[in-house]
Amino acid sequence: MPNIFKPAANSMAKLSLLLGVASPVLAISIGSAISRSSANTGVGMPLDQPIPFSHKHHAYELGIDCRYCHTGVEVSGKAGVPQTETCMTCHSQIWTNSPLLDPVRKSYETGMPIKWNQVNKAPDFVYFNHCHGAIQKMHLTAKGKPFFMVWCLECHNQPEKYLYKDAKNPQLSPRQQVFNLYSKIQTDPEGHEMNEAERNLLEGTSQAGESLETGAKLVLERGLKKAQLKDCSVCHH
Amino acid sequence: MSDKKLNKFNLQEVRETLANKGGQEYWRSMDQVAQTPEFEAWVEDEFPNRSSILQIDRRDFIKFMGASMMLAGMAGCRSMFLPTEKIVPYVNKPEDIIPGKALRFATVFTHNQSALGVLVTSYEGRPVKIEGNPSHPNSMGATDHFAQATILDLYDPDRSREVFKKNLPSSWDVLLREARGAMDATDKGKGIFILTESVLSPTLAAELSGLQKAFPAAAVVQYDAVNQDNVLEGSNIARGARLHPRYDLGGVDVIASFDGDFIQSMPENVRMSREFSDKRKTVEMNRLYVVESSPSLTGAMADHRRAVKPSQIEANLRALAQRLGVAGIESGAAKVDARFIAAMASDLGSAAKKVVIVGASASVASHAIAHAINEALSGSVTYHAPVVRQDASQIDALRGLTKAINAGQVGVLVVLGGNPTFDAPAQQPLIAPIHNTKSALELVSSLQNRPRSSYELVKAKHGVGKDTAQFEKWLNDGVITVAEKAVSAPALNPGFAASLPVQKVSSGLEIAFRPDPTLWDGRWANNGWMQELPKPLTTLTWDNPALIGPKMADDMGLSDGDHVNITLGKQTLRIPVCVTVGHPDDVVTLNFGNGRTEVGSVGHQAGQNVNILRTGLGFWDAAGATVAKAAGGMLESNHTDLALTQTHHSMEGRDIIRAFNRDEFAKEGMEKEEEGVSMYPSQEKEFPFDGPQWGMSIDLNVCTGCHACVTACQAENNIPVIGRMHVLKGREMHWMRIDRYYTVSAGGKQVDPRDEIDSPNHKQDVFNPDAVKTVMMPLACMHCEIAPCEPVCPVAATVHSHEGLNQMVYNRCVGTRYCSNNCPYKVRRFNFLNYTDNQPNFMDRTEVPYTWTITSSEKNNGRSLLKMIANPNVTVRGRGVMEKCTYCVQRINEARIEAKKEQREIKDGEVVTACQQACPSGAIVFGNIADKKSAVSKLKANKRNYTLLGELNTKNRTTYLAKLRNPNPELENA
Repeated sequence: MPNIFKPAANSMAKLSLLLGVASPVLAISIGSAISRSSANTGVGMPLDQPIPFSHKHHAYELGIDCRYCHTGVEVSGKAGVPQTETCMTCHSQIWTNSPLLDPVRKSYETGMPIKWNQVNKAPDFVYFNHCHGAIQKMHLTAKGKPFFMVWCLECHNQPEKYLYKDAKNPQLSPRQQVFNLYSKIQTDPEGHEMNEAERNLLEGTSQAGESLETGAKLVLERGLKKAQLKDCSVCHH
Repeated sequence: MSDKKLNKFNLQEVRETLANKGGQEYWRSMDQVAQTPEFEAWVEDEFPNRSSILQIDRRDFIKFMGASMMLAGMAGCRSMFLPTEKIVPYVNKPEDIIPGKALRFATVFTHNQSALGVLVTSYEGRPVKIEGNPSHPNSMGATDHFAQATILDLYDPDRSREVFKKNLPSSWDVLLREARGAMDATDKGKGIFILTESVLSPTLAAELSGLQKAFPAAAVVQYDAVNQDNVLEGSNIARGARLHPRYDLGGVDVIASFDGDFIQSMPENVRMSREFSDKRKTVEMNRLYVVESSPSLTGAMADHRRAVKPSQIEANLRALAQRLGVAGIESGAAKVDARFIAAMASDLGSAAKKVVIVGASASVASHAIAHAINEALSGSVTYHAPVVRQDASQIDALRGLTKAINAGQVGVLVVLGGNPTFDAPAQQPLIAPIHNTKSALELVSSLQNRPRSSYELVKAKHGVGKDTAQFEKWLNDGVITVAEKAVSAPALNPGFAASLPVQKVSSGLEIAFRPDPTLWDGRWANNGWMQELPKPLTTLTWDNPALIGPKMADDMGLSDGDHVNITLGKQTLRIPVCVTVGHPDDVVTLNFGNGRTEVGSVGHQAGQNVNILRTGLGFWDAAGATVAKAAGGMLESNHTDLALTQTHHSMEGRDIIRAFNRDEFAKEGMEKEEEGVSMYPSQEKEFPFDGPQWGMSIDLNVCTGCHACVTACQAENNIPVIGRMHVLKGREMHWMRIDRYYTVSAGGKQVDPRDEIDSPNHKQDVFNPDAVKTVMMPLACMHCEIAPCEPVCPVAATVHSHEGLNQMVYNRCVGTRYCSNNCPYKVRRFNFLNYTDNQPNFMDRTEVPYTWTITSSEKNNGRSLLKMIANPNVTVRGRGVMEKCTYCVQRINEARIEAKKEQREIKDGEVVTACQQACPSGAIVFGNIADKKSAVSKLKANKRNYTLLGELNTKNRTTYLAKLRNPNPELENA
């Protein structure tokens, strides 16, 4: 009776055993890599917009205050894309013939709003009303973070890592601190005068803010109740 | 369980069970007392009527599981498949609007001949919620359920949206041109009739009189199906002037009400509820006597109640008048309970502040006599003229119009009103008209060839000659701060008693016609919230059966849902019955308002039209009717299952209600709660977290059961309507329910000292309507500190927050429903069929919800309107998810964010839950229980405070204050 299995069959058997173990692991790793990749999350990929608006140009290079366009930002949890009229306060005077601004002029004439494509969308079931990264560095607006819950929890777990207070202007309220930082950028675009924490915040790196000790002090000072930040209903209601 | 027949009790069993009971027992339904096998099975089964998983075979089960797992994986890649959403900013943003921030507009909700000041919350021009206006005297910050639900009418899918001419779309221009042409062609307006509801707006009154100046012969006909004809005519007889009484219940010690349901169906009910409960909350309390011909919420609050026939109301008033020594009043034609009247009269006589209230359904003579009684007692009542004179009764006016139509004398008929419109005057309208509509004001002004906006019209009426800033402030506040000219009512006509109408005498059966407790005269018949709101006393939804007493049901062999034929004159109505505890004998109550034939997709086929029996002669009540049990046949069933919610979510067999008599409670107090054996470890600190700890206190003493809270919760928390078929299966979604408990005294055996026995002469059982006591108990999630629902959830979808909320995380929930099984209070609701997205279909009463067809694009378009009602701060829940009361966590979060911005703690009273806000009697108080100075902490320290099912040691955050009654000792210990 001839051998049914050739010697190579041993190797094949070993290999298939190995594959049997490895393939689910591989499948899961690949699947999770895909789901975390930009292809799925859209991070860093600008969307087509009716007008190629640049935050970097307006907020950083020209130094326009955020609140000039985003009027509700200090009272409302919604970003509030500015009305066409706001664009036209300047663009009725400058760049009046630019073809890029055609949709703005058209909207102003016809009264039909400009339809922007939404870049950052909080996932369903989440009520989110604060904070964004270094948008003043973006020419075309793109998603900066994938909006996975683990990202939310980074800060909700350890707010001390992300709190900031300008040591030179301690009298400012937490809200004023934010705008204070942005006005610093405009006077000091390269960040020579800034400390490391401030530079981190401006670059939008994930390790930002003050040192942990200072942060912990700020947590107490601002009356943050850390435990409560992780309560489900703080964001899900 | 699928073909269960609830509501099938045997009255003999009920009677025997009650007769054997010692002490005071509270029960919710006749089934519960009789302990029918059907009832027990229903209680045993947490989700009655569900499909069994065993109906799927093994292969299908594995297929479904496989598919579910695949799809679950796909959900992670949503963004690959979902289209990008658009952001659409304003072109020119209105100054006050900040996207994401609510604006509140002050306006007025007119209903039942009174105006209720309200604030409407609006997001980006989209009104989503109505709340009371705290500075309006009729509201004081509260509303009733009608005001809460009227916001849904704004998005009624069946609203007329265009001008039609003979069924073809037309335009306002054509309408106005032709109408004006026709009006000009008349001889000084002869043949012009304007049919309107009772006019309450001074501006509309001014516009109408302007129109009448141009057309002197034009007639304005005011008509309401629930009108004040008898009130005005009674006043006319007594004082020679047609005036409305306005009862002031603030600080009143003794109130005697004769069919006067001031808690729900009288004008200015919200104000009177508040005044009544404010006094009720004091140590000395007030005392309420009610004589009524159909069970009402006011009767349910009464310390002493007598159920009589409609025709006997007048006799009772006459007896009271005689007893109080009012000259010239003859005895009534019916027998009265002399002891009761005597006790009431002496109580009224000795009280410092008192009033006698008579409802609109009472006879003309009753109202005239009430004028004399209140005059003799110096009752707490003032008199006011209607906004537009009503010289004749509304019924006569309508009859005149009908006659003119039949005789062909009507050239132009303008019908105004019938639909609350929200394009109420404001400089910036609350909402731009959704459809091509005009307000009644604008229409009347356009008909005078000088079209103006509502704002201009109101300003012209109230603002002329005054400074504009003052007018704008009025508009902003919703209240005009000019003292109303006090009308000094003409003196009582001394000989009026001689000119009273002849008394109705009736023996035998009477019919009482009453407006539907939720649909009113039918104006909310197409409002899903109102159709599905359990009617306060019967807990009925989607239907309006004839209400009869248990004795009559027993005599005729009827149980809930059995059909009867009611014959009055030449008309016969076939209608199911609902056995109502406390209903007077020999009376059938018919609630009108349901059964409209041309109503729209929601109210289509709902209920019965009882108006066919309601004639001008028998407007409020009719004698001489016959009732016979209807025969069933091959084609026609003689039984309809009633969608009653009273048997759902039962906590039967436990000590739930605590009620005491005032004096005994003052002496003995309440037994201290015994600490039961706890399954859970005790906590070291009272509150381990340093922050607000939320809790609620509900005062059973002043809860009237009006259901404003339930509707407010529905509006605030995006709670869907599910339709009659699903209510029958026990799936109603209201996060809050109001349990209604009855008790009767113990039939002469072993009388508990706490028992209230009005009169030992009465046979104390369920057949005696006078012996029945009612307690209302609002119930939502108790937010137990040691919550039984939490440990049983396999996916941690319900967990505790540091502030003491029992949170429900919808995106974690996989729908095992273990939590609901383990909840002792039955407050969790499961969304079986994606009710919100498919809401219009459930409201359609479609028997099989999966097979609907949308007939036209226009209808579809109308349905999408309903999406605009959603509160943007609350998740719209989908299928397969458990949900429940959150303590309005979105409001807590909003307050916390505001407090953080201002770097302070949340103040007491800053977080107001939707139910608390709506409550006319102020029975619900919410706040921080860790702060011992907060309002809620003070209430929890009250002697009456108790925890529902406290023996379970679940440490509920919601606790109750026991009910107190204030019976008259003279009636009690005879």
